[in-house]
Amino acid sequence: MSHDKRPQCDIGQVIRSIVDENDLSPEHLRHIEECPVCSEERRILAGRLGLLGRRAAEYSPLPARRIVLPQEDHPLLLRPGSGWRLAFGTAAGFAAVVLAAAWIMFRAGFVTPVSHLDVAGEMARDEALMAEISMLEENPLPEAYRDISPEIISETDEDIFDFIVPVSSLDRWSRGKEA
Amino acid sequence: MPADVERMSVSVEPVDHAAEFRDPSDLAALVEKAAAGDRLAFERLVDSYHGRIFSMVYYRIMSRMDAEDITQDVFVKAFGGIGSLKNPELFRPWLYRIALNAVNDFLRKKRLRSIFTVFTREQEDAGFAERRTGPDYLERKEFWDSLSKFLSRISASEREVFRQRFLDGLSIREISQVMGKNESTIKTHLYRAVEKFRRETELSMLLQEEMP
Ligand SMILES: [Zn+2]
Repeated sequence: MSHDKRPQCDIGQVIRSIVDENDLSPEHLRHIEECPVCSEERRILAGRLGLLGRRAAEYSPLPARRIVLPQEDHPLLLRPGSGWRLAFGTAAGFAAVVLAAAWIMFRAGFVTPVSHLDVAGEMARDEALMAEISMLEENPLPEAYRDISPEIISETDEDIFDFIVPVSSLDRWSRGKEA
Repeated sequence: MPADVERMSVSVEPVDHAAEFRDPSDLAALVEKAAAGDRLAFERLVDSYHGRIFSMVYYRIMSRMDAEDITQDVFVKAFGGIGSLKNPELFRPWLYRIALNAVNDFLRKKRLRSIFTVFTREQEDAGFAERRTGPDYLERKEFWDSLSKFLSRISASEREVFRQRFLDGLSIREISQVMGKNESTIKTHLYRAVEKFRRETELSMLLQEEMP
């Protein structure tokens, strides 16, 4: 009893050869090349996929608007390390506004005796300001840019949760750590 | 790989409608300059990838106006973040990932306005509005209708991987970098998508008619 080890026609192998032909054994690749049925299947399927991409490009509009980049001195372009300057500027500006308001109110006779509630409110505002400053120090890029890497990619349907990009993949974009 | 087998490679790459860099080292050098703060270098990257990113976005939302807005937003984000991109070889997947996030963000917001399908009539109409009377309008409409029907019948993972490979023209490796998944996972999704594409009669017939 003899066993024929030659690969048989298998559409699965034809599809694999289109996805990545390096995954196929030389025997399977040779079969697809030499077998008229498999080579025709492959030619038609690969041809349709190639045509699909070309048609999509052909049937799409071209962009009509120019991309406008922010100006170089735009605050959004501050580089890492300059965050403390932004934080200091924000804090100084905020303090100046508070002092000016206090002075105006004092001159207008609006200042009333300080209550416990006022002190508590003052402390809460201080804490909020300090938290804002810490956040600016830790994240020199403005909020609009912070979502570039860690944002989750989601999709509409059933496998939304099994195909999200992990938040920890942020580091992949750094040298030597990519996948 | 034997020479006779090597010959059978069939190109499934879409039309390259951007001035893409043939030599990867040219791109890497430009990305390095842009990452170091060279604005002109970044503007050259914009020139090279504007069309590709616009198409990538358009394929997913089918609205020209929205695609213009999202593409603008993608490049502004990339401009702000390129200083942190240490490995210039990852520029392409990094840029596509920003674009994909922007598209998903847009679709999420759109879903909040009670739009649940992959391509809606409203989106198609917006996409075709500018050349509704052109000679190939019906052809284009039939093509996008068939493609959207097919894509709506496969899973979200298969759909995204299929688009990235056959519409955006990314390599398996690049798709794995964009999606943050290993290459074998990407190939599994791609295999399933191609298997379903092969059985998709309407779209296949449409493309068969145009095959030599
Ligand atoms: Zn065969």
